[in-house]
Amino acid sequence: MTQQPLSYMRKIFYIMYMTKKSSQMFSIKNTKGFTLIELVIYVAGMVLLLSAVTTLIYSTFVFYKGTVIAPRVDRIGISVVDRITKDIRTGVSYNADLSQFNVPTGALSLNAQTDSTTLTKYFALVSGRLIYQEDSGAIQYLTPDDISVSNFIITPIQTPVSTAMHFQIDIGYTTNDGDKLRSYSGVAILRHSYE
Amino acid sequence: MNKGFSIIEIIVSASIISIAVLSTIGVFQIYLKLSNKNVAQTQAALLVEEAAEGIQTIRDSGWNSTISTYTPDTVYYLSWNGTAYSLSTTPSYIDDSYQREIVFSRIYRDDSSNISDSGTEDENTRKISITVYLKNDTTTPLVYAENLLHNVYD
Repeated sequence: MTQQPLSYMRKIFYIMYMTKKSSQMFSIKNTKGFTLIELVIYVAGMVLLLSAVTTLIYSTFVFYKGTVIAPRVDRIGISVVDRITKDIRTGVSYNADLSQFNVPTGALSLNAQTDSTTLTKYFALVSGRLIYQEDSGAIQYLTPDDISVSNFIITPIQTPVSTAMHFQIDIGYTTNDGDKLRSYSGVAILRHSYE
Repeated sequence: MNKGFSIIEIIVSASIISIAVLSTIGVFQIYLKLSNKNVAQTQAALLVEEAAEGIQTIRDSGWNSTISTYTPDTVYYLSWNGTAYSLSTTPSYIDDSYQREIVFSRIYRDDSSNISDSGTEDENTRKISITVYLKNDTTTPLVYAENLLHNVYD
């Protein structure tokens, strides 16, 4: 061994080594080392510190997972509400026969008018996903397949001069904290119902 | 010369390392909380839009029996009971995380019927101010919007 002072890391490895192997293999001449008490305190302190850091990293990870899923569900909910709100505003009237009001798997069939052309717009909840259909065109999905929409409740509001639609979208998701359910509601007046 | 470390040195270095690690984690958590606040802002904007539209459906059900009965400059809360919207002065929270306040105020018109600070009160127009806060934090509004409501049908 050289007489130069050991680096911090080398010292730790050195101690670990010494506890396993006989001191015969390494000369510890001129090295003061730790007393047993110091070692015990050091190891205990290290254990405390490491467990605290591990707990913190773990809780941060749990928090991170929860934070990532929650805003994603929020973004989906907000954009779908915005989308449906804008479509309801193009409405003239609704088709009660093709709509399902006040039920968890609701459906809404709108007679809409955009740029003086009339068309039907259809929203429904099918197998946990919100779908949209224009006239009898292709089905468009409004929500991704890994997010399950639990409720799509539509309620018409009839006033003497106008028709409005209230709707609520519930999205359930799982975090380490347990199951959560987020509700997003919107309301829109069928603008052409005033006419 | 090779004295080794004293226990004090080890404690000091361990605490420096732990402070460094803890503050890194702390900064990360602050970042996550802030990015969450952005979503709250967007949702608050949506809540303002819902309120504006909801109040219009109340207006459509008859101005004289609804809007003109609300006391100006009083805070109202909008709620949905499953079939209709209604306003009440009892505070209510949305999703247990947002607070939405609605205030009606009088509108005055000058001699040329333009809206002004003074003049004759126009009883067929009200200004609605909608403010959305995070629950229990009414000092910093997330979103604030104003809108004019007219008596068109009554």
